[in-house]
Amino acid sequence: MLSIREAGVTEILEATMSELLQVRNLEMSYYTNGGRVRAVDDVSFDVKPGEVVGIVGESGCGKTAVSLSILRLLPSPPAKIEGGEILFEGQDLVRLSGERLRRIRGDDIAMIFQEPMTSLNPVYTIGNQLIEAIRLHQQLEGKAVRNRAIEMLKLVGIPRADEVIDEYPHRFSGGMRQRAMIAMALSCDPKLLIADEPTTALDVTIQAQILELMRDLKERLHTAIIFITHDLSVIAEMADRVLVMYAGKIVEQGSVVDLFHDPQHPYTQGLIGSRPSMDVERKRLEFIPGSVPNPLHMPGGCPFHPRCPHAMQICRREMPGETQGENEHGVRCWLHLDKSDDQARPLRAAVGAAEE
Amino acid sequence: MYQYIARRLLLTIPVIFGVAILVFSIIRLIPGDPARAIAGVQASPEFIEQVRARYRLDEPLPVQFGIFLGDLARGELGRSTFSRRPVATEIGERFPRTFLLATTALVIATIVGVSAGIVSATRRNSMFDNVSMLFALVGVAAPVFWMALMLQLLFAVNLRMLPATGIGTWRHLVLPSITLGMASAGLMARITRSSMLEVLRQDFITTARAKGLNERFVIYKHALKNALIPVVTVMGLQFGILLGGAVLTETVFAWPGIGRLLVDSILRRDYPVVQGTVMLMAFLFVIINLVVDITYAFLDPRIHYQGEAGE
Repeated sequence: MLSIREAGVTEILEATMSELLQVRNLEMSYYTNGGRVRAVDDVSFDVKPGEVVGIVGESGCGKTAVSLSILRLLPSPPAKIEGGEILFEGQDLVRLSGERLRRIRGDDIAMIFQEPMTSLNPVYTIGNQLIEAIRLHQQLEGKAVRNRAIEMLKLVGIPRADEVIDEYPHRFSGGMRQRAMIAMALSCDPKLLIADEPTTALDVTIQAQILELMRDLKERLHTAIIFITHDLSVIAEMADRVLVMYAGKIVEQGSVVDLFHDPQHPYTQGLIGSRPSMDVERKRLEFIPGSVPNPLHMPGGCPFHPRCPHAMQICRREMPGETQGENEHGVRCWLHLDKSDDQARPLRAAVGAAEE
Repeated sequence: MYQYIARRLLLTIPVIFGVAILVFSIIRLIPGDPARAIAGVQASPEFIEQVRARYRLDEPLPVQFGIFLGDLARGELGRSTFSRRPVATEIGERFPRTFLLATTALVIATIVGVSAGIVSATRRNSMFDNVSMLFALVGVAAPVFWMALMLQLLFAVNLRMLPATGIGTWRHLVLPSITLGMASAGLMARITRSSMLEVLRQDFITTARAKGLNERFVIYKHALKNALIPVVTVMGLQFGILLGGAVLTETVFAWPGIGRLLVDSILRRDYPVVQGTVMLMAFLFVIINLVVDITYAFLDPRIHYQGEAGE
């Protein structure tokens, strides 16, 4: 049988240890030929057991960099974690020895990736790759390993699992491969699953199926999930809490309800405003002017100020600290902080007015 | 899988047939009388007539070709105009020596080249990587005869550790096989390195690491099998070249193999031997390519499935 952790046990776990993962002031840079790129800049967040935390942001905002930093899966060089800590059940993954980190990878923390077409090894069967993960972390022998693998494939809804297990990945469709990846990731009952854009490469119907599957598995297995995506509707469906990232920094975080109904940061407001709406017909979509800054020439102060409709003098000079609202709803924006009249002078003369 | 192998086997037939046409044409396309060419420059008119009759060179070309193919099938390759011995005997004597030399060189090249390539790829831009890639460059670029002479000078003349030339014991094999192996090793190290680097960038390598596999498993199980296809291609090509074209090495080390036989025969205008040797080399190349193709299918399951899907 599947060793699904029972709900009672999870509750005890939650009571004894409120945070599963605590990321504190994480700093990660890439050293490229063009210079140093600060991909993750002073990022802090928590994940509680069984919780789904969504990370949203545009391409290149550092959301994947954060997710890969947790298991130290970034190739080094060019990537280097330069500061902060990543506490998983109290141990700092940043400073853990390679050997002990390997024991956590795939066992306590598992990962699935964006491209199901390339994230399975084409020259080994699905079963081989699945069994490899199980054998590495679980005390199972011989036939039991294979049975466990077949059971995992059934769990993620792959038909004819006992035959399909000996097939090579190229015989699978994209959706099936992503299911197989999920089976692999969940095969050792991880406490935390990091899903890096798991549905982005799939077409919409398959996307819906995979999300449904993940939601279902989350309910049954009580796995905490870090769900990375640029798709706000996916976040709205999946996440309990959301982090909004821009240019390597978390600009806003809060519960999914607070964030969607009461976005505080102009960037979050822009993102939410630019979603197509079912209610309003034939309105041109809102958009955020400008584009993500070149990481090699990051603007000073708040990185969003060149695109921000509310930009003030101070935004150009200094990155604001976090202000905490109710419900751990945090935002990093000068609009919510005290400043002098001089600092609050608009950076651009009423852009909106000039356009009208 | 068997279907794939069978199809590959069938595909070798037209290639061998094409080579047979070319070899058949060599004698008939050179200026002048083929009978004279086969008999040799100093042959008497009577002998030339004898040759013409024996090889039935007075028959129409298609008939001649039929006879040629028949002879070929029976392993009847004619006689050397120089030694007067059957070509098959001549080749049979030389070929095992070349085969021994080529195989040893290939083994050296594979062990040295592939392992240097793997280590270079996994420790990219390290001291080891830079030094081994420099050696690889030298190995590929240095002329074989120069390398041979340098090795002879060092190990045979100065250190007196190994014989400079000739055949007989395993000690005679060392210098020529190292000479041949070095050039191939350089090429294989570079191919292995770039192929490994390519594979190590793939997503499934990150997947393997995320599972908690140790680095050795990631490299030798997940990366290497994917990276081997171009390496096997180069191995096959190199083996073909080593079997046929080790002329310089065989000459410098006085190693009486097939490469020297071919060059000597060309210089002596010993056409039957040239025909036989070229035919053999072409045949070997076809066999090696067949083995390489079959190896691909074992390395990458997509290859034979693709063939089946195409039907």
